[in-house]
Parts: sequence; C-alpha cells; structure tokens
Amino acid sequence: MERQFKFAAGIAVMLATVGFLVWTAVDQTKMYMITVSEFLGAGSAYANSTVRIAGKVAPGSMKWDAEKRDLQFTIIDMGGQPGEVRVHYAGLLPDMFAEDRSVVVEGPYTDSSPFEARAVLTSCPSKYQAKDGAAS
Amino acid sequence: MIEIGTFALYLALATCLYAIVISVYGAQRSQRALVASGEHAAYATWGLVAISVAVLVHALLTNDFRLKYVAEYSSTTLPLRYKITSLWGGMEGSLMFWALLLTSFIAIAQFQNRRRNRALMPYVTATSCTVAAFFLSLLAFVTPPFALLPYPAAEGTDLNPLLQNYWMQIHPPALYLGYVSWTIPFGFAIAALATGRLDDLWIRTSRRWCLMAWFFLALGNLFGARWAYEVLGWGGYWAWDPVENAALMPWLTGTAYLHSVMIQERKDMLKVWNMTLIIVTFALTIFGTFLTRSGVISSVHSFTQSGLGPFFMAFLCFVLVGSSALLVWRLDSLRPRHKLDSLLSRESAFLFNNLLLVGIAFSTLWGTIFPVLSEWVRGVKITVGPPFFNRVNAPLAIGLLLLMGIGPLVAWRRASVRHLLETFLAPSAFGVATGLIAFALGMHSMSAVLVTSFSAFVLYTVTSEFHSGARARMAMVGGGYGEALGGLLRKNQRRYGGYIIHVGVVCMFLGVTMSSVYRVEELHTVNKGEEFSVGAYKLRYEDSRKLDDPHLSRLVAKLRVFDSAGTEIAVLEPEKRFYKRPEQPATEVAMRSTMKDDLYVILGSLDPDGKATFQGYVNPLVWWLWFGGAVLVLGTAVAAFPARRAVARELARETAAALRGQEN
Repeated sequence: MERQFKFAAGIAVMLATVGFLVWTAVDQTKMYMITVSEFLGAGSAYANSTVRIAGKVAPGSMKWDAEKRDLQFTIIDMGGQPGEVRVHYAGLLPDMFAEDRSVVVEGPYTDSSPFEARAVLTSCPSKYQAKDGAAS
Repeated sequence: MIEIGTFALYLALATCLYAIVISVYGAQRSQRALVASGEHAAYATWGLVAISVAVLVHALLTNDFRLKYVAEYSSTTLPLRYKITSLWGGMEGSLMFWALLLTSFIAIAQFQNRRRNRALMPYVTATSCTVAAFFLSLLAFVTPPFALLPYPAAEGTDLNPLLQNYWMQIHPPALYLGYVSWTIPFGFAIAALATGRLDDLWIRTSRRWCLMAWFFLALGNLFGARWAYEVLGWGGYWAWDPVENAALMPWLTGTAYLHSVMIQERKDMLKVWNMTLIIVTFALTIFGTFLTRSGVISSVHSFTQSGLGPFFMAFLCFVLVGSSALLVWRLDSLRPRHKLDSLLSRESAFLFNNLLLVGIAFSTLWGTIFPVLSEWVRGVKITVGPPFFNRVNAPLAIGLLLLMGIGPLVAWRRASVRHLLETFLAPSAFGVATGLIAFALGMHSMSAVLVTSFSAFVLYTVTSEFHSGARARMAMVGGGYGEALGGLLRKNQRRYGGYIIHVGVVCMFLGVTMSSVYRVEELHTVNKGEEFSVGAYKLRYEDSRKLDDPHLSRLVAKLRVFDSAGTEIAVLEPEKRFYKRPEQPATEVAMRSTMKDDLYVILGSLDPDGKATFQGYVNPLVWWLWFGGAVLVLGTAVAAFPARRAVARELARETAAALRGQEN
C-alpha cells in the first residue's frame, strides 16, 4: 500500500507541476485578440495586458521611412465600424504589408496614441486554397 | 480522362465500404471466404485510388486548365518538379494523396499478415478502411478534386511561391507518411479490443508500423522546421504555430507509446495506458488534419476556411467515442497481472518519461486551442504566443533530458540505493563537471547550463552502455572491440538503436537551446562598399543587381563575409523576390552554416540608389539540430532494420503465441 501511495504521490506531483506551469504561463503570456472597435471602446479593460488588434491598413495612411526603418500607419475596423488607431512600428517592413490589407498589430495596451506595435503580422494574400471567385 | 478519375473515386468509396461491412460480418460468422472478399475489396480500393491520383497527376503535368484544381495550383511556367508538388499543394490534392497513402498501407499490412494474425486482420481491415472511407467520402461529396471550371482557364494561378522550395517537396509527404501510418497500429489496437486478444501480439505486430510512423513524423517536423528556417526568413525554425503543434503532438504521444509498450511486453502492465496512448495518438493525427484544414484557429499557414471543419470534428468524435466505448467494454480483461515494484526502477523511469511527454503534448494542445476555449467559456478571445510554449515546455523537456540519462542506469523491477549510488557517481560527476566548465567559460543562462550538463550526463551513460556491452560481448564470444560493438547492435537492435536515437535527441536539444538562448540579431542600413558586423562576423556590402525572368524577378545583394581575423570566408547573396503569378514578394535568405554557428542574412529592403537594409542573425549550434535529425535516422534504421535472426525469432514467437491462442 505504501508503495502505491508513493507512486500516486509521484504522479500527483508531476501533474501538479504541469498544471502549475500551464496556469502561470497562460497568465503571463496571454494576449487579447480584439478588433479596432473593441480596442477603442475598451476603456481600461485591457490595462497592463498585451493586445493583438486586427484591422485593415487605411488607404493613404502608410508612412515608411526606409532610412530609419520606421513605419507609421492607421488601422480601421474590418467590419466597417467607425474609428481608427494610429500605429507606430520600428523594424523591417513585412513582406506582405500594404495599404488596404488586413493586418494584426501586437503590443502592450495603451490609451495614448500612437499604439506602439511590438510586431506587425500580415496574412498571406494568396492562400493555399484560393478563395472562390477571388480575382487573381 | 477526367471522368475516369471521378468514376474511380466513387468506385473506391464503394469497395471501401464493402470491405468494412464484409470483413466484420465474415469475422463474426467465421467465414473465411467473406473475410478474403473483404481483403480483396481493400486491395481494389487501393488500385482505384491509385488510378484516380494518376489522373490528377496527369492533368497537372499536361496543364489541363479545365480543372479548377490544376488552374489554382499550377501554371505553364511552373517547373516540372513543382507540378508534382502541386498534388499536395492544395486541399483536394492533399486529401487524394492521403487516401493513396492510407490505402497503400492497408494493402501492405494485409499482405504482410496474409498468413499471420488471421483473427485480428478482418478488424484491422475494417478499422483502417473506415478511416479511408471518411477521406474518400470527403473527396467524393464535399471537395471534388476533379471539379471543372465553367470556362477552361488560359493559364493557372501557380503554386504559392513559398511552397516552391526543395524542403516543401519532401516536407508534406514525410508528414503525411507519419500521420497516415498511425492508422495501422490504431487498426491493430481496435482489432485487439474487438477480438479480446489483448496479449502483446497486436503490439509486436504493429511495432514496425509505429516506428515508421514515429520516424516520419519526426522527419516531417524537421523538414518543416528546415523549410521555415530557409524560406520564411525570420531567423528561426519553430514558431509554435497551430499547424506545427498539430504535427508535434502525435509525435510526443507516439514517443510515449513507443516507450511504454516496452513495459507491457516485459511486465504485462500498463495495458489500458497503452491502448489510450495509441487511440489518443491516432485521434491527434485526425485533429491535426482538422486544424490544418478547417481554419478554426488562425495560423501563419493561413489555410482558408474550407467548410471541412465540421466533418473532421464529427469523425474525431466518432473515433474517440467508439474507441473509448471498446476500451471500457474490455476494461476487465485489461487489468494488469503485476504491480510496479519500486519507485526506484526502470519501469518508474519510463512511467515518468511518459508523464512528461504527455504533459508536453497536453500543454501544447492547451495553448493551441486556448483561443477557442477562452471564447467559449469567457466570451473573450485570448491567445498565447510562443512565450507560453517555451515557458511551459522548456522545464518539462529538460526533465525529459535528465530522465534519458537516468533510465539506462536504473535496474528493472527494483534498484538498490547502494547500487544506484555506484552507477550514478561517474556520469553525474561528468555531467556536473561539464556544466561547471561551461559556466566558467561564460555560459550564464541557467537553461543553457542545465541542458549542457544533462546532455553530458546522457552521453556518458549511453557511451558506457555501448562500452560495457561491447566488453561483455568480447569476454563472451571473443573477437575485437569493433566486432563486438557490431555484434551488440545486431543482437539487440532495438535497445542500441534506441540509444543512438537518444544521442540524436541530445544533439537536437543542444542545437535548439543554444540557438534560442545565444542568438544574435542585428539590423543595418548601409551604402555600397560599407561594412557592418553581425556578432563576430564582418560583412561588406559589395553590389546589387536586378534579374528578371517570366516566372519571377529578383533583387540580389552581394556581401563579402570576413571572420574576426579579417580573412574572407564567404560570399552571401540574399535576395528579394517578386513572383509574378500570383504577384507576391518573398525573401530569399542567404546562409553560411558551420558546426559552430550559422550566419543568416536577409535583404530587408533595397533603395533605388543602392542603399540596402540587412537583417543579420548568428544562430549558434543550430547545425546540431539537423545533425541530430541525421543521427535519429541512423538510430531508427538500426532499431527497425529487419535482421534475419531477429525476424526468425519473432516468427517463432508469433507462431508459438498463435498456437497458444488456438488452444485457449
């Protein structure tokens, strides 16, 4: 019986470790995935956390300084809701980045402008599976 | 021609369904003729699927743009080798490829067992044909691969440029081989449950299939990592993307299974656990296809939502519910005859290895589906990025590395503390000393020091296993050291093959850890003729040029690379490419790879006046990741290579087991 207890204890410790690691890591690395309008209407709901905002690069808003590798643009809601978020990003221009394309910007939540993006994620325009009726 | 393909597909579905029904019916009624008929139907399914795939490949090769699939994934300017790659470049084609592999495997498994395991085989056929029938019905009714365009296209859209790469030619096939081969062991497990023949016969029969599945999943993941490293151009090879995770999870549970079956074979224990592991592993392969094909979780692989999601989900539920029901039904006969003897035993080392592997698989699954879960439960979409996976999995993986060294040192059943201290002393001292030296030499990251120290520990124990084995053999049969070493490998392929795989895994651990902890990343904008440095390397930007052909146009920058002593060691030419169909930019990385480190350069942008921005990385020891993969190939070859004697022994054992089975 004692032996079985030892095994049970060993397994329990193991499972608890995995559970603890998962729990704390989720807490420390979570990012809220939101839209532009959710971001603007959030108040301070996302204070002190990281957000990923999905939106569309507003036409005519992109300013790229190749010398300083400094990118500024505005994203608007993909669902057509009013409002916009100014974004600043320092780094290489992503391959697929262009105006009127959908992007996701990632960074710590802030209520001041511009939003300082830590990463700009672009989705690939030509998917493995072409969309039906998409002009190509 | 095209009609033949469609017709063959429908017919294949019909023969496949027939094979399922007649095999089970024949087995229930013990009618050999019916069982044989079921097997013939499965062979026929294979032939029909092969015809159908041949028609699609023919259409790709002859630029038959009447077909939607060909028009979407090929073009007249696409090089021949990529036209074949297009078979798995899109969804319909990859499902076809999947069906072809699966039906081929069913045919091979049937042929291998044409005189053996007659009681199990009808259920193996029925189970694997059920999986095949699922894929064939998707092809027949949901995503027809031979769909025609309303008007034939003049030219195709072309294969995604990111897929036009050597690694992409072999990555998906390797991964599919891995995914699909798990179906056969799963079939054997279900057959064992259905027939109640729950001894280790099904495990031994399907062992090579498991090894093959495990091996190809490992290769598929490595090829994928290599592709990401060379093509995606972000300096890394693994991003914890849902699609990558999808392929990693069954590999992890499969690794756990390969270890825990050893306990069942030796001690007749952990039967329920092994059944669970094989079911979970198979379910994860289906879940993986579901993730890649449904678009439920957004991924950089960016597959469009295909509408296949619900079908996969339904099939996944069917698999899980069906196999769990069978498992519960047989629970009584699966009770172990023995109990674990001691916490200090190799059995318990295996047990903890299993817990860690399943723990990593679980946390990976949790992180992957977290966005979906949080949306269901709390109504907010929360995602966790790579930091989550690194934070959780790094400690667990380091624990696993330590266990890899402990395992061979601990005796089966029960190890005495005194004996343990003796065997542990030298390897632990070696491990600790290596760690201290690394620390003294300036390695101050804790995970790097731990991985170095544990790696040394594992390498020491593995080497001494080989050494003492060879010495014992020399004493027993005489001969030289090398001869004894060779004899050792032949005599006990599985054990020593396994150790070689462990050495490969240690190399991968070192490569992954050092390249993540000590990676250097720098960004420079320079004019022609100017120099900049990345880590210890000096680079001089010489020149740029523009090249143009019908397929793509390229901007190429030329860099000379000097080492810290000022000697020129390489010329690197990173590129920016613009594919013309579909119009899409892409980055072509330039690399100088050595055992010590990789210099990895990306051309960020190139101004008309010639000014260029380069992103440079130095990734230390990443070479060892790929080298570890090669060692893994070698180890698997040793473990799985059919030695004549081993086969004879296995046959004898199986015959004996079969005779025993008849007596019962």
